[in-house]
Amino acid sequence: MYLKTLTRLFILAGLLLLAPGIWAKGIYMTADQFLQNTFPKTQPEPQVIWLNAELKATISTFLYRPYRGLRVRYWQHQNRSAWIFDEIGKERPITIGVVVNDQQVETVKILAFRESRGGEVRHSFFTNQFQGITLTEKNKLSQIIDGVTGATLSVNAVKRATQLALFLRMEALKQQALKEQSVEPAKD
Amino acid sequence: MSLRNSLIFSVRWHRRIGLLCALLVLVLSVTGILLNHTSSLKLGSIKIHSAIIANLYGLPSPEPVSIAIKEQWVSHDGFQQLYLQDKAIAQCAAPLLGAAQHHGLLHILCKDVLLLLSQEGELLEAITPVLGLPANLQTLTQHKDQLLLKTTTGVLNANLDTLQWLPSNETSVQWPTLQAVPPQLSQAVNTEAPAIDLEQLLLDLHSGRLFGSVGVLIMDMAAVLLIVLSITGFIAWYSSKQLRKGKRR
Repeated sequence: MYLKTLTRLFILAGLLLLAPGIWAKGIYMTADQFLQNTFPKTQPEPQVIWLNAELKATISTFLYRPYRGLRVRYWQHQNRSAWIFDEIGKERPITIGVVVNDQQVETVKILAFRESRGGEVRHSFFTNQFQGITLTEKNKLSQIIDGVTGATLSVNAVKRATQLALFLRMEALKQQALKEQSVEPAKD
Repeated sequence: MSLRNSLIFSVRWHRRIGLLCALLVLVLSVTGILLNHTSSLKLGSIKIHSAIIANLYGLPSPEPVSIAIKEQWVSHDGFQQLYLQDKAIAQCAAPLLGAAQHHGLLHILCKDVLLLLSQEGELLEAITPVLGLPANLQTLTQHKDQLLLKTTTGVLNANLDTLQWLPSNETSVQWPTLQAVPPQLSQAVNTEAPAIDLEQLLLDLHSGRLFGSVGVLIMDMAAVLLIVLSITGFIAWYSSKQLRKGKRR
């Protein structure tokens, strides 16, 4: 009788330990695969957006930390651009890929998850919520993202990375427009 | 056993055990009280740099190294911090593998990251394996206007504009060598032992884990002895009470 109950308890404990999301570490997609999926026909060369002190200050308001570095890489073909960031959930960086079409999120993918908990954010039921999202004037996401129980910090990391991608996409467009203006010959 | 004998026995053992575990109880009580007030005392933010304690945790001693680039020194404290001359410029996990100037920028290679910095040491970009940084890198250098990376399997020519890493046939390449931190910079380059949180230290002292499995066993023994103390204390109190009752009658 007791032996039976004990065995059941052991099986239950084993199942809980193996439950997805608790031990969720892993690389799900390399950066190359992500770019290949995003740009299946021709993979564009990486481009760079430069960050001045003002942009860095704005970025730090929604990242809640100073941004390290003066430039960010991205890949762009026509209106679609792909961004890859490492954003820390609790202790370890989560590699997040964001595809922005014009100024809207097309897809969000978790390329690598290194935390021990919160790996549920890699599933499509979570990442699909970002589709079509834009950035508001206050640099916030235009829609509310439903959280995942037990994965709050990872959810916040994905949201921050998406905000960063949308913000930088907007800035890249501005910088491109300025460049084109300066190249255009003056009209009489 | 008569009441008198039981009183003598329990008091005697109570004293012996009390003496035996006095120091351990002191450690347990003091660390326990401090741990109860972790947040208010901000124990987590107090860092202790001690080679002895770091040794107990099995943490290696820092091995600061430097690389000469033209007239400047790039140094690493052996943990995280990078220095350009005596100025702390950026962080990357040890070991420092190489450093070179290329196209007016400083390129510093650490474990799993290639940092691009301005001449003044301002971080421009960190190229990680996510952005395609190859694995098994050993060092890097500038050679004939190319940025070359040495790997365990060969030499790669890095194009950081397109993030391409093409095999190179260059053979007569002079790779940089790691040196000890020059004396004039030894003050600036932090060589302190790794920091341990006071909270972590107290927790491990409280559980005995600081001294490995033997420490845990000793703390277990102290806990068992505390239980025995309470039993001998109770027997001593009860026996003396019964004896006094008997005398009154």
